[in-house]
Amino acid sequence: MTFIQRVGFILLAVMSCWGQAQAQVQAQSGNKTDKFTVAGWSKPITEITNLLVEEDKGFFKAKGIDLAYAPGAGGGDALRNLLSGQADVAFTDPGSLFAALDKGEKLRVVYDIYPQNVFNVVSLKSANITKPADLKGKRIGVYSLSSGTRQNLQVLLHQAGLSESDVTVVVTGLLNFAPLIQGQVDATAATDTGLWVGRQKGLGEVNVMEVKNFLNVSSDFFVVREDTYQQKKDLIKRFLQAYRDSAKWMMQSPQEAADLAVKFAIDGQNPSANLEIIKLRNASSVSALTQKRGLGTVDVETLQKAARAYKAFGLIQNDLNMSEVVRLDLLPAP
Amino acid sequence: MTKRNTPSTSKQVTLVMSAALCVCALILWEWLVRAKGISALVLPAPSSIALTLWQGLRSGYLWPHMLQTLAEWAAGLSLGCVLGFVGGLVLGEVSLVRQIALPYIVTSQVVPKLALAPLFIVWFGFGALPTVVMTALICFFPLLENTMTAVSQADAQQLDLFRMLRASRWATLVQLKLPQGLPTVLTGLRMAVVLAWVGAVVGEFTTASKGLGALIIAAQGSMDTALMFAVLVLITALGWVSYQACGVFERFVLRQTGFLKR
Repeated sequence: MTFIQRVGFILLAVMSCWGQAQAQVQAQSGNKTDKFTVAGWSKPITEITNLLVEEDKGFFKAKGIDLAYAPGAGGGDALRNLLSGQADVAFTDPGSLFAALDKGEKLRVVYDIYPQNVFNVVSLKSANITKPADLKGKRIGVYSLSSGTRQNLQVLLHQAGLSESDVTVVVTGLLNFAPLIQGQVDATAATDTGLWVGRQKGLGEVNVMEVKNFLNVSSDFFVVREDTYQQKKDLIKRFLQAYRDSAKWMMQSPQEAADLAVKFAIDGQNPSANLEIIKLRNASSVSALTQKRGLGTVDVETLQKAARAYKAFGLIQNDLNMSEVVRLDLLPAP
Repeated sequence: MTKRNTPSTSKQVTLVMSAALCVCALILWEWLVRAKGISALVLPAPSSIALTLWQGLRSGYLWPHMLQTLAEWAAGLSLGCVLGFVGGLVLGEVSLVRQIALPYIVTSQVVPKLALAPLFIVWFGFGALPTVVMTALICFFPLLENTMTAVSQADAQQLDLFRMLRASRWATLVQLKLPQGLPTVLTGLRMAVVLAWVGAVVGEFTTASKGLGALIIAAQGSMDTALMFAVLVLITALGWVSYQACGVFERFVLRQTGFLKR
C-alpha cells in the first residue's frame, strides 16, 4: 500500500466513525426539528434581537423549529429570497409586498410584526417645516430609492395632496442625518430608531412629522408564499407561536434582551443604546387591535388604504384586494 | 569630498517623510474637527476613531468579523488564483480559445459585481460562499491577464531552440515560458491580493451577517461613523500587510529563480 493510499484509508475510516457518531447523537436526541429560514430586511441588528437569541433562549426550538436568519438589504431583498426558495418566510415591508403582489406573485400575509408605522420626516427647527404641506419645493433625503423611507415619504406627501414631483428627493444613504445637519437637505425621511440614534449623535432641535399620525400603515409583516401556506400550515403556526413568545419576552425583559444584543446583534455594542432601540421596537409591536386580538393581528382595512395610496402615487399599477392576501387562521390564540 | 547618501539612507529618509506627512494630516484633521465643531456623524476625529478601534479590538468585538473576512479573502483569492492562472495558461497557449473566450471574460469584469450580489444568494445560498465567489470573480482577472501575457511573450530565439530540440508543448510551457514569465505572473498575483480585499468586503455588504463589510453597513445603520472609519482602518491595515507579504514572497521566488540577486 502506498503512502497516499494509507492516508486515504485512514481519512475514510475517520470520516466513517465521525458520521456514525453524528447519526448516534441525532438518534439519541430524539427530537425532530424542522428547519425554518426567515429572510430579513437587514443584517442581524438589535431591533430583531428576539430572532437572534435562539441559541440562549430557544423559543423556536421549543416548538420544534431549527431557526435560521438570512440577512438582506431591504424588504425587497427579503421577498426575493423568499420567492427564490432560499427562505420560508419574509420579514418585509408593505411597499415591497405591494410591489410583489402587483407583479402577480402569490403571497400571503400571516403576521403583523409592527402594527405601528415607525417612519418619520425630520427637519431642523430653523427650517420651520411642521406639516406635510410645508415640504413642497423642499429637498428631502431618503435612505435609497427602494427604501421604506422613500415609500413612507410618498405616503406623507400623498396625505397632503402632494407628490414626489413637488419635492426633490435626495438619496443620502444610511447616514441620513449628516446631510440634514450640514444643510444639504431641508428634511430627511427616517425611522424612530434612526431618529433616536441621530439625537444621540448631536442632531439638535428638530421638528418631527410621524407618518403614523397621517396613515398608520404597519411597518413590517411576515409573508409566506402561497404554496408554503398551503403545504406547511402546522409549521407556520408553530413559527408564529414561537415568534409571538419571543416578542413577548422582549417586551417583558427588555434589559435582558439589550444585554443579549451585545452578543448576538452586529450593531449591539452599547447595552444602553440597545435598550432604547428595543423599547422603541416593543412599542411599535402593539396596537389597540393587538391588545384585543393578540400580537400579530393584521388591520386589513388600513392595509387596504395603504394599497390604494400606493396605487394613487404610482408605485403599483393594479388594484390589490388585501383581504384575499391576509390570512390570520394560523395566528395563535391570544 | 562630499558625502553621498547611500540607497538605504534615502529609503529611510523617504519613510520618515512619509510618516511625518501622515502625522501632520492626522493632526490637521483632529484640529479641524475640534475647532470647527464638526459633528461626529459627519466626520469623527482621528482620536475618536482610534479609541473606537482600540475598544473594539480589546473587547473582542472586531476579531470575529476580521477572521470572517480574512477567511473569505483567503478562499476567494485561492479560487481566483487557480482560475486566473489556469485560465491564463489556456488562453495564452490556445489562440482559438483566447479569441472566443476573452471578450466574455472582459465583459465579466465590466459588469458591476455588487449588482449581482442578490443573485449570488439565489444561486449559492447564504453564508460565505457568495462572498468567496464574488472575491474570486473580482481578483482572478489580473492574474489571468498577466499569465496570458507572460506565456505568449517568451523569447523568440529560445522558442526556436526548443522547437529544434523537438521539445513538447508541455515541456516548452513548463521549462521555458513559465520560468521566463514568472515576474509578470507574480505582478498579477500582487494585484489579485489587493483586489481580493475589495471583493471580500464588498461581497459582505449585502450577503453577510458577519465580517468587516457587514460591519460597515451596520455602522452606517447605527450612524456610528467612528466605527465605520475604524473598520476602514482595519481593512487598510490588512490589505497593506497582505500586499507587503506578497511582495516578500515575490522577491524570495525571484531570487531563487535568478531574476533578482541574492
